Amino acid sequence: MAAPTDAEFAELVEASWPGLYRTAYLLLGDHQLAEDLVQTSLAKTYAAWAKVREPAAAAGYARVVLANTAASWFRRRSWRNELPSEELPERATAHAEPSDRPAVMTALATLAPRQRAVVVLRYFDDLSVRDVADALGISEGTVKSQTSAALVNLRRELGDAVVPQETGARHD
Amino acid sequence: MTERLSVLLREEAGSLDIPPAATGAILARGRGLRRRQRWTRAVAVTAAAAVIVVGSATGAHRFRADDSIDPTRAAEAFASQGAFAVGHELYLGDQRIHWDDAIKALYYTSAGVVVRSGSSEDTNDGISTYTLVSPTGEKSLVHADSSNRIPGFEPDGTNFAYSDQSDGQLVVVVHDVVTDRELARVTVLDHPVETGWDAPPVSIDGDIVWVRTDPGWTQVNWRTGEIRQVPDTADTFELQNGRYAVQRGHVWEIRAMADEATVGEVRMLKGWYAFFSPDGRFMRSFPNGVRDAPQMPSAYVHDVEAGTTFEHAGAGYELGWTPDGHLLVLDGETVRACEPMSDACSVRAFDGSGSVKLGGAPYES
Repeated sequence: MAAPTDAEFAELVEASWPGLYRTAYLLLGDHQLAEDLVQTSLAKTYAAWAKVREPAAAAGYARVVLANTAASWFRRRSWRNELPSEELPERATAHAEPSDRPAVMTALATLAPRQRAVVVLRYFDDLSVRDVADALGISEGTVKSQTSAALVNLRRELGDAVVPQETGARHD
Repeated sequence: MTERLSVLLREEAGSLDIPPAATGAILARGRGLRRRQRWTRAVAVTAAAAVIVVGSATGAHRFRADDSIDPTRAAEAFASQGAFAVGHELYLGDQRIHWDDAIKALYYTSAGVVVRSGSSEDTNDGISTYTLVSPTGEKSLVHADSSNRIPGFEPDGTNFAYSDQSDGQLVVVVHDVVTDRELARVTVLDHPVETGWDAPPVSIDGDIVWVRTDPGWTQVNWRTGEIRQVPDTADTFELQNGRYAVQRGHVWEIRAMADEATVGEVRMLKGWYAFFSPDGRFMRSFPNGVRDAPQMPSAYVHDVEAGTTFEHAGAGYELGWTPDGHLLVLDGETVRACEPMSDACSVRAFDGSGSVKLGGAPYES
C-alpha cells in the first residue's frame, strides 16, 4: 500500500491514540513509558506501512506492533529494574474491594511482565489466545500457562470475587 | 468467569487522563525509521554490487606493501588518497596492509584511519574491534565498547564518541584513539532512547558531541557536562562536523549546530538523498527509491557554502571520501580519488577479492 500522506497518518494517530495509550498504560503502569511505547509503535507502523493491507487495518496493526514492542522491552535484561512496579507497595490487601481500581493496578504490578501482557491483551483488549501468541511472539501453550499463573496471582491479590476459583486457562 | 476482571481493567483504563498525541514527533520518528530501512536496503544492494572477484588491474599505480616509508609523504598520501579496503586488504595512502578480520567500516581521524573489523563485514553482526592505523601503517588497538552502534569521528581530531544505554541510561562516551584513554562519560538521559540501534547515533566536533534523542539532537559539551536540546532538529538525520541538514523537500538547508545559523543550501533532484563528507564541507547525493534510476547513476557533489554542484557522471552508489574532501569512486578494480568539484581524478588499482569498504562512507544500518 502506498505510503500515507501526513494528513492521513495524523488522522490514524488521533483516532487510535487513546485506545493504544490505555493498553500501554495497563501493560506498563507508567504514564511516560506508556506514551513512549505508543509513539514508538505508531512510528513503526508508519515505517512499515507497506505491510498494512488497507487503511482500516492500520489501527489493528499498530496494536500488534505495540504488544510486540512491549514484549521486546520486557526481554531486555534491565527491564525489571526500570519498572515502576519495583517501587510499589509489597502487596495489595489480600482481598481488595472489587471497585478499588488502584488495587487492580497494584495487583497487575505484582505480575511478571509477560503475565501482565497476557492478562491485559486477553481481558482488556479481548484478543484470542492465538492473537495474543502472535502479538507477543510466543506459543499458544505459553499464553495459556502464563494466563493460568497470572490468574492465580491476581486471585491472591484481588480475591475470589474478582477472579473466581474456577477461572483457569480455558478462557479463549 | 473473568468478566469482573475485564470490567475493572476497563474502569481503570477509562479513568486515565489521556495526554495529547504527539503526531509531529511520531511522524518524524516514522520517517527516520523508514529512512533507516531504505538505507539498509541501499547498503545491501551496493554491497552486493561492490563484491570484487580476484583479478589483476593494469595501467594504474600499484601499491607497495613493504617499502620503506617516509612519514611526511605517508601523511600527504593518506590525506589526499584516503583509505579503502577490499576483502582483507587495507589500502591506506600508498600502502597496502593485510587484515586478519573482516573489515566493517573505516573512519578518519587526524592520527590515521580507524578500522572497524570483526568476524563479519556487517556492522550489525557480532563484536567490532577498533584499530587505529597511522599513515605509516602502525597499528594500535582502541579499547572501546563495540556492539551495534554508530560512533562519531572527525577527520581533524583524535577523539571519537559513542553512546551507550546498556545500564538503562543514555550515556555519551568520548575516547582518545591515540592514547586509548576514555576522556569523558556524560549521562544525558536517565532512560534509554528507542532508535533501532543498541544506542543512538552520535556526532563529534571538538568539545561537543551530539546524540540523537526523541526530540531531535541533544548537544553535550563533554568537558563541562553542559547539555542542551538543539531546537527544530526532530527531522534532521544528517549531521557531520558540527553541520546539519534541514530537509525542505529537494532543497536542504545546511546549518551550524552551534547557533543554528544557516551555512548554505543544497539543491537536489527530486527523490534524492545526500550524505556529508567527513569534514562537513560537501555533500554527495544519490537517488533514493527513485523509480527507473539507472544502475550507475551520476553522483552529484554539492559545495555546501558555495551552493554549487558538480556531476560525477556514472559514478554510481559506491562512494566515499578522503580526509581532505576528495570523492572516492569505486570503478571496477580501481578506486578513483576525484577533486570534489571537477573531474580531475587519480586512479588507484587494487588486487584482491571481497567486499569493498571506502573511507568516509556510512556502513552502519
